[in-house]
Amino acid sequence: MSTATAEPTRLDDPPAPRRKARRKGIRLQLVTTPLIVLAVVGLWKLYVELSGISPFVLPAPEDVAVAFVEQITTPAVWTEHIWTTFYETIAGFTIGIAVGTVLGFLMGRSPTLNRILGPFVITTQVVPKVALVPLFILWFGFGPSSKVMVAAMLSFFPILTNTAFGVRSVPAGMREMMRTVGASRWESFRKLDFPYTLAHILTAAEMAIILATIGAFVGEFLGGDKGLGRYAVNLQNNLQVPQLYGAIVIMALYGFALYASVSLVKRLLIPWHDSVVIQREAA
Amino acid sequence: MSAPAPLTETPAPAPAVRTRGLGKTFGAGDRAVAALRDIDLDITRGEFVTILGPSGCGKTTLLRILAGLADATAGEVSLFDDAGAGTGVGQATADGRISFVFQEPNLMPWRTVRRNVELPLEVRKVPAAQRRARATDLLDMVGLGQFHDAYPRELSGGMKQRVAIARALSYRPELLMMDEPFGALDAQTRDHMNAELQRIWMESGTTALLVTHHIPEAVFLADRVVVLTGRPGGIREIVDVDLPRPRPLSLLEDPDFVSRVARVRTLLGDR
Ligand SMILES: Nc1ncnc2c1ncn2[C@@H]1O[C@H](COP(=O)(O)OP(=O)(O)OP(=O)(O)O)[C@@H](O)[C@H]1O
Ligand SMILES: [Mg+2]
Repeated sequence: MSTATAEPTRLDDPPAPRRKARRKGIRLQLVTTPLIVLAVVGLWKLYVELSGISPFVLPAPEDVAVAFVEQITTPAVWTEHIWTTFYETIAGFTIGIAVGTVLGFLMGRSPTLNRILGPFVITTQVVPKVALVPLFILWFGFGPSSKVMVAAMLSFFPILTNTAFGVRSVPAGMREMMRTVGASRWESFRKLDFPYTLAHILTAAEMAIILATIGAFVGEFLGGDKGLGRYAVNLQNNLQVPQLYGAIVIMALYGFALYASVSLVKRLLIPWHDSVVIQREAA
Repeated sequence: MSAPAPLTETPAPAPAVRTRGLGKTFGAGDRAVAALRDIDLDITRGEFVTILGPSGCGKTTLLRILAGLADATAGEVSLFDDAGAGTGVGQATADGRISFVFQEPNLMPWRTVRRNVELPLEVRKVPAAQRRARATDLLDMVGLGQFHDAYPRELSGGMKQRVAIARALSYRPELLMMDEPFGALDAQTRDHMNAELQRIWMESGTTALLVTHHIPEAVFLADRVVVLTGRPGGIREIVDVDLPRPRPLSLLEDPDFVSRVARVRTLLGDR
């Protein structure tokens, strides 16, 4: 029944071993990722050599590599295409976050609003979005605005549903605690609902940035003259196949970079969250 | 005239809590659950009252009604003589005169221990330096002086509960309600916390209302022990504990104390 000391002292020096474990995890990734990429490229090369497949269908990896390097060293690719897509993605993502969180908090806290707005929100998602793109082009023109709207429409939905879910999951006990310490509704939102829900919003943001990217690409495929999506369509029309593959690599890296940035922001903003702690300790 | 009770002449003692015929029934019809019935309770300002009763008899429900977190379905409640059945209760909470330590610590996982303690002061717009000083004092008092910058997940259950107590004390409430705050503590820490709680209460002059399952704790802390019956909880008896204060921990072996514990145990036993 009796313990030697009433005061456990397990916090005296916590962070050191954790950081070491994390560095080890990154080092492992630095080995596995290139190895797997190398293996895939090797198989690709082997297949091209052995099957005699037409270079218009599948060019050799080294041709794609040459095209890729040439592309990313061409300033116009950056200023015309990558920049345009980046602008559309980020603008659409920002609108998606703003609309999604505001509606999510409102619908999460108010069952009435949820019932009123719910059907319309769902409608925007069940209508095939690709079918709406021509309409958006009609409304917002061939410029970036129509793509921003597509990106926003795709990205706001996961933000909204996760925000609503998050704010509904705030433990009742914590809400009552805020009441008994005398917090107003606004303070309770600021100090409890918002920080609690932030974890849900940021998880949704990882998905939303990918959807915003897809939205921008799809918008560009269907109209306009700038952006990575349009660039790929042009290359295809000109039968510049290695360059088309190069463009796809650029798109993949582009999406990956955006995803990684959002993911990093998430880990920085909610270091306290169980999911982040577990990831950090396992890494 | 045997006990040297330091009786000063107080004109009509100021009430902190007053309930008349208070009852609570959850649900309706066939599925109705009566949790509390006919509670007549008067607590004077500055008093320490503890509540004992079998599990599920409505102790938490009673505190929740007093804190304005739930409504009574029968009878009336008033706090600090604010009259007005019902309305006075929520208002006292909103005015920050009441503080509640829940059965669960309800700490915010994104705040450090210190910032959890400061939360009620932030809500009250207390300047940062003052908040910090107050939190430091309180954390020292509950024995967590080294854990200011730890996060709740790095604490044991008992340590979390102590943070919750520090938070509840931060704004010097007039009525401090605690729902089994020491349930998760080991025997030694519990004794220590009981002694500390007595000291804090004596220094602050606050009114304290504490629910517990631990009979010696209830007797040690209380001016009066309210013993409830099984569900639906009604008052079985109120036991006066007229032992002098400050009570040292050695009191736990004192025959006067032990006999009162035995009496309360009997009251709880024969339902
Ligand atoms: N929200 C609720 N809805 C329906 N019944 C409830 C609700 N809250 C409590 N009860 C019932 O009221 C009774 C009293 O509950 P309460 O939590 O007040 O008990 P307690 O005395 O605090 O018990 P314990 O010592 O186990 O904490 C219980 O029988 C419980 O089932
Ligand atoms: Mg209870």
